[in-house]
Amino acid sequence: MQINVETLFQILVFVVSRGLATTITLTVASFFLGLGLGSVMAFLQIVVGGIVERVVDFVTRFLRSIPPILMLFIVFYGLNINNILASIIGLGIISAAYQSQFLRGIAEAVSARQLEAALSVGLSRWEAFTSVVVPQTLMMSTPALLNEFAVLLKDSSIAYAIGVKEMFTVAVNLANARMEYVHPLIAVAVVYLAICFLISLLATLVSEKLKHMGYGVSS
Amino acid sequence: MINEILELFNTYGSNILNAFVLTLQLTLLSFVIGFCGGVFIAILRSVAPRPIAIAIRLFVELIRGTPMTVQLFFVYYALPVAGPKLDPFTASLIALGINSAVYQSEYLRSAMNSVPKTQWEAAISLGLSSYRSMIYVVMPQALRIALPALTNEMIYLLKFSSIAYFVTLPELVYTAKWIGNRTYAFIEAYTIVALFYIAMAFAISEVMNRLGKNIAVPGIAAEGMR
Amino acid sequence: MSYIIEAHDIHKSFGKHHVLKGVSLSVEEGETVVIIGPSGSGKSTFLRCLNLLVTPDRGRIVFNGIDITSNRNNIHRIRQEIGFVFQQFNLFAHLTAIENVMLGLLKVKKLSREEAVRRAREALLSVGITEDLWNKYPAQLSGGQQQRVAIARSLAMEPKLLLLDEPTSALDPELTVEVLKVLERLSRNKMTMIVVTHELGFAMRVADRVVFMEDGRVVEEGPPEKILLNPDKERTKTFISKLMELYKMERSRP
Repeated sequence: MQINVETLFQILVFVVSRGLATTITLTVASFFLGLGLGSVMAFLQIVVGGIVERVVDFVTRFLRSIPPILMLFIVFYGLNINNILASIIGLGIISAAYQSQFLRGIAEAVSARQLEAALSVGLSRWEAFTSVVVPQTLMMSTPALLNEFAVLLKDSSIAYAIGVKEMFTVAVNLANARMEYVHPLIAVAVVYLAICFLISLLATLVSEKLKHMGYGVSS
Repeated sequence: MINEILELFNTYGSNILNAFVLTLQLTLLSFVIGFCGGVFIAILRSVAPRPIAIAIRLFVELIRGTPMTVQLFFVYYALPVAGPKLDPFTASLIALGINSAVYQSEYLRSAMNSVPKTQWEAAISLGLSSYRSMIYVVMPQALRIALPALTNEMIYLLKFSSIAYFVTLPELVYTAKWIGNRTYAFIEAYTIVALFYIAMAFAISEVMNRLGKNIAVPGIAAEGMR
Repeated sequence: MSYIIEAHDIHKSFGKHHVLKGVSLSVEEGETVVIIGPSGSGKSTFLRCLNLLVTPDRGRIVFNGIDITSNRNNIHRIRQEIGFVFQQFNLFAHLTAIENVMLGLLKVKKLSREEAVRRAREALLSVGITEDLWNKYPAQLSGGQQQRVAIARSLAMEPKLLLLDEPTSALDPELTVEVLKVLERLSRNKMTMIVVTHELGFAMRVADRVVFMEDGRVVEEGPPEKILLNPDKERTKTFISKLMELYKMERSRP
């Protein structure tokens, strides 16, 4: 079968205009939910420790074992909320589990080096944490965070299962209407590729900058 | 709630069991396909001439840059235009398998690069061909280094086997929804299925960790897990 | 007079850096040749050209009558007959000591398992690695033990020529002796060897010929008594005396 580039382009514009905004909303919102919640979880594990650490660990293992679709169903049908909110919460919670893992790892690595120095200069534990550990952790986590953002971008397509009109859903609905899947799928794939490409460019730039600043990357 | 759950098991036990088997099959088979494909791609990328290596790289970026859903739909709905129509299981297997092969090839490549180049030099100095040096010296070490990443990959496949829901394969998530639709006991159904996933994920990491301990060699460090 | 290996006018550059500027060397069967020189003189690079680990830009290498520089395709077959011992030992990390020695025997020489085990044991014992160490992994062995296993690994292949790139430089002084003893014995048993090293005492005792390289060229070569004690060239004198200083200082440490 022939692939008509003009059709491809038209479909691409269609899909982007109707679905991109929602896709980006889902991605950004769940990313920040994950970041916020993940930071809290990492904080609890590092600073509070003890039994809390074990509990949070257990919870993250649990959240990392569940399929995203199932999570979306549970949130959507369990708490009776609209589908976009359900998607954001479902994807966000799962993302929090993953983000807490690497945030914690990096924070601990940074602490090992910098905390003693900060305390010796006279900063209190809290000040040391907020002005030394947290900023450095965020800086060094940037590549991992960008990666997580890309993952959420792709996972946002799962919201199709609960009827959210993001890009993938728009493309599939169009394909059903036209009774033809090749063009819509290729078009939507191109959009995802383009965004992922931008993200990885950004990640490379950041990695270079970090290396320059003396933070060797080892991910 | 416990009552409802036991009820569900009673009535729909066989459906759930079948779904469990399907999920397990999808997970394990796509991991194996992904592993073989991954090794193949990783080795090919290091020994193939430039044009082929670049083509492979482009393919890898294509798979990594698009959602699994798009890939599955492409295999199930778009490919039949050029070939045979695939059944849901096979289509899911192919999509998951190719996706996994690409990601596993990346983990393996990273592990292969962690093996010091001097190991390879020592091998060829003995008279081993490039091919044999790869198989008997580099890969055994790379595989041990990559083990944590491969374990994560298997768990990822376990979770994303659920994507077959979209092509109406009666795996666990599809079955849960199906039961929910018939009984309105959604939460109970989802809980059962969630527990299955958690148990399977736990089993997988236990088995892989056990395997890791068995083949561990002092001096080769496995990279940290995600 | 049969030459095991002849290198003619070897040139090699890495980028802009012209490392080897026309090095020639011919080694007879049974000879022990020691190459000395300051770091950066190209000694290691030259050694690596001899088994084509590094490909020369210009020049010819003839091994046992065969021009191996123009015959790259079967180089792995030829490497069976040339043993190479690295400064950093480079034992296969995932294999035990005895498995390290056996790998080449099984996969290259295609011996049977029993034969490979027998030969491996012989080789290991000949370098003083006793049975209790055979099943240990490299990470569990001392540097001296690792290097001896590496030598056994090369010896088991029954090479016609043994190349050694600073075999003791990565070892603590106490462990250097055990390795040098092994090399000495090999040399006396008429193994053809080319050794890059700073161990002047070893060169004095064991070498048939000493070659002094500097700045990518052979400056002078001759019997050890000549080169080490009474060299012709000024540059050779300077290098030797510097090395002797260092040597004396090390040896006189309590």
